[in-house]
Amino acid sequence: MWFADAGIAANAQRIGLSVDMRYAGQNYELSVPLPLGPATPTMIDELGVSFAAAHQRLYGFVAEDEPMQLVTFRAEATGMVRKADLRQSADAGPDARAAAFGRRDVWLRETGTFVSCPLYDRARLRAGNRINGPAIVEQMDATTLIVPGATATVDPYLNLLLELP
Amino acid sequence: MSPLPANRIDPITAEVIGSALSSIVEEMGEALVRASFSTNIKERRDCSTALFDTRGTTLCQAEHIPMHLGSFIGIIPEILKRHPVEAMRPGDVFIGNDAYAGAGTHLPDIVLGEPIFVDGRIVAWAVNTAHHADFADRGHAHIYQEELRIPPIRLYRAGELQGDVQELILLNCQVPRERLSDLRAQMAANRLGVQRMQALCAKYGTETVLAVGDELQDYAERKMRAGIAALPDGTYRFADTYDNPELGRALDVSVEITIAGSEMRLHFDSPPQVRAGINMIYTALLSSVYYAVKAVVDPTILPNSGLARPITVTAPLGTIMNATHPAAVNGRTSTCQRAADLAIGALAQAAPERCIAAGNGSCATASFAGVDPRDGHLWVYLETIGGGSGARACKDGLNGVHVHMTNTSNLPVEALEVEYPLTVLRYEPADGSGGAGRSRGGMGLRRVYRAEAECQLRLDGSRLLTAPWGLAGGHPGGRGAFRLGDDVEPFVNGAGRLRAGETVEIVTPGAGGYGPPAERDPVAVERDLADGRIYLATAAATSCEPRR
Repeated sequence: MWFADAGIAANAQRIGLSVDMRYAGQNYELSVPLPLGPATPTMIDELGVSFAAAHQRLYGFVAEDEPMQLVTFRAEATGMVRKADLRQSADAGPDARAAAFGRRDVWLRETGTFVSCPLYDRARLRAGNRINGPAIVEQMDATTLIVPGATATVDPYLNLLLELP
Repeated sequence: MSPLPANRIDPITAEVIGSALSSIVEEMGEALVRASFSTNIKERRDCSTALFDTRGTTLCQAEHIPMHLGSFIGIIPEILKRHPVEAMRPGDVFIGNDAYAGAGTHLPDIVLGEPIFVDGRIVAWAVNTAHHADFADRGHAHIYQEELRIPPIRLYRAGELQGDVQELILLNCQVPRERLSDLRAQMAANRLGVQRMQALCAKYGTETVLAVGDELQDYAERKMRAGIAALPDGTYRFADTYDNPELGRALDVSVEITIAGSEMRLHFDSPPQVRAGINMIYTALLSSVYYAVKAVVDPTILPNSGLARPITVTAPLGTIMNATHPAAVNGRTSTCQRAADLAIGALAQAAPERCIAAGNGSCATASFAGVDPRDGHLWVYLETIGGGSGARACKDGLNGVHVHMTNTSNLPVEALEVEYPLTVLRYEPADGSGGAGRSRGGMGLRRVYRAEAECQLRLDGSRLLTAPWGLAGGHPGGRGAFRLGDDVEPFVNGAGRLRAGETVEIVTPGAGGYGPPAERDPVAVERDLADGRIYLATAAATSCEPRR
């Protein structure tokens, strides 16, 4: 279903099954691979062996007499897709004024006073743009403060590189 | 920038290795919790982990339970005193719990220590302690009644379990299956500590890692000295009382703190030790003081032994706050809470804006033990219940939390009722228990239990007779109370029996307020009133009448 919705071709579909197991009485589980196919006594025994091995590896002991519990069964669907193709942006020069959208008074520890800082929209910054601090760069999910003396440069992948004095 | 002396580690390497040490002890703690079986560890996280250097001073302690530092301070020197280093092998693990043999501040805290070998020599120790919720329904006239005393001895010898030792310990436990599992979880934690420390030495070189350990302790000392030096010199005194259901009365306790330059001396006075489980040994007093002073002076100081160097702690030997053999110590946490509050009360005269009002000042404890009708096995359940935390200069105190020396989670009601023949009838903040002030003190909790099968119950705590004090004009918080249901036979010294269907109600203390109540923001008063956190009378005590 998900494969169809996501447009994953039949030969790029992978399904992994696992079960979270613990000793009865514990509060945390360890994930153990679950083979495909119907549950048989042999398969249950194999799960016990896998769990004991995982427990030994992580905690250094096996509690032979303690009953085990199967807590959560998981199925994981993976679509094998092409790696993202990261493209470099053309250098637009150092002038960042096209991304400026106002000013704000900000209290800066470096000066101990309120300083009028220019505001920049991250989405409108272009590769090669340079901003000297103090300044603020805003984006949907983060705010970057460029302190006085620091310089921000936008790299070809649109990362913001801050160099401190 | 001036060049670093040749023998010094550069600060970046020191920071990286220091953070790695913190990460190792935190990971050890997670392994302990994840591998454990008992509710006290797997849910309530009543355990701590640490790394020590070969002198037995703390390299790093995980930020779990400050009280447990007292379990760690004495353990390595005591092991080294009893066992020659030349005879130690990789995979040796020492176990201990005795308050008078360097291994803990009360017997349920069982310590496991394992030497970390690199290139054939011991470079450090992995240590952890877990509170084994067992040993319930015992006497507390002296330590021999409280539990099996274990000096630091080998539980594992070169990786091989010493079955005889384990058998002896388990036979003295009421719930041996749980004890065995928790001991294995403690083994898992140290094993991880050993592996990670060995990897750290392999990556950076043993000498560098050890040099950083020394440097971090020096750094903690420098920060502590700088913080103390910033406080005004002088002598500050604070007196309070300490009450406990086991005693049924209040005792006078006091502290005198002298700040001189970059050093601080604390002297505690308390009555002679008593035939009850409320006595503290010296390492318990030390951990209480280190916690309180660090919290006030600079909470960012690294949790290692260096911070203790500028601090001197004294108390007359044989008193409640510096008890000697054979004093019983099981319920020492509430007493330690009072020691921490005393120190903070005195330091509030030197740095009022950094101190908080008195918190719930106790470790309200309900310790149940009985025979489970479902399988005939003994069961033991230990519960410690939060209360108010003291109001801060600019913020209200927190409601229903553990404060100061103790820091365990609550056991969710659903998990409790699945595991034990108990039903929780009420669990709620205690109305009106937060002391009024510009900042309000935190609220205590009310928890009501019904026994579904007969069981023995022991109740412990403090601030039943006196209220947690406010600071800078703040009012005191509410007291705690233990109330037995109608048909319950009266308890003796805080202990007694519940039959099936009988109930007990525990109310934990709130906490003191900070600053005059008249200065409280009227909006906050209205919100507290609307939420039922305060009564109308408390609201009226503020100058700002709530709008109707």
